[in-house]
Amino acid sequence: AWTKPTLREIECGMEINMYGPDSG
Amino acid sequence: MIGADDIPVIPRGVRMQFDRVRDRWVLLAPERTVALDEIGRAILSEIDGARSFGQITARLAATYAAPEDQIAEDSRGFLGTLIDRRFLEVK
Repeated sequence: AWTKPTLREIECGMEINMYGPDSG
Repeated sequence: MIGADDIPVIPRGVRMQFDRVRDRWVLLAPERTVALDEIGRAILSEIDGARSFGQITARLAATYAAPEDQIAEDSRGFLGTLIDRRFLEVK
């Protein structure tokens, strides 16, 4: 089912939320 | 903001790949990696350098049987973020 897509940048082993339901 | 007639293009040096270590799809650019979910991968899979944003969202709406305006809104934000970060270009 369609859901809002997410993007998480991986940097130095950490993930930073770029886009998606929790990105603000 | 990407418009219906804009054609998104994945630039040279950027590619989508399955990361076996992380067990998920990622978008790779020089020295940068972005993790994708299934919907993100579906959107990027529609980009062939010929289809416009409007054509892409129409195809996704048919595939997912979801309202095209909702898909366009979500996809516009998703692709806009990638354009801002130079993972994607428009022509």
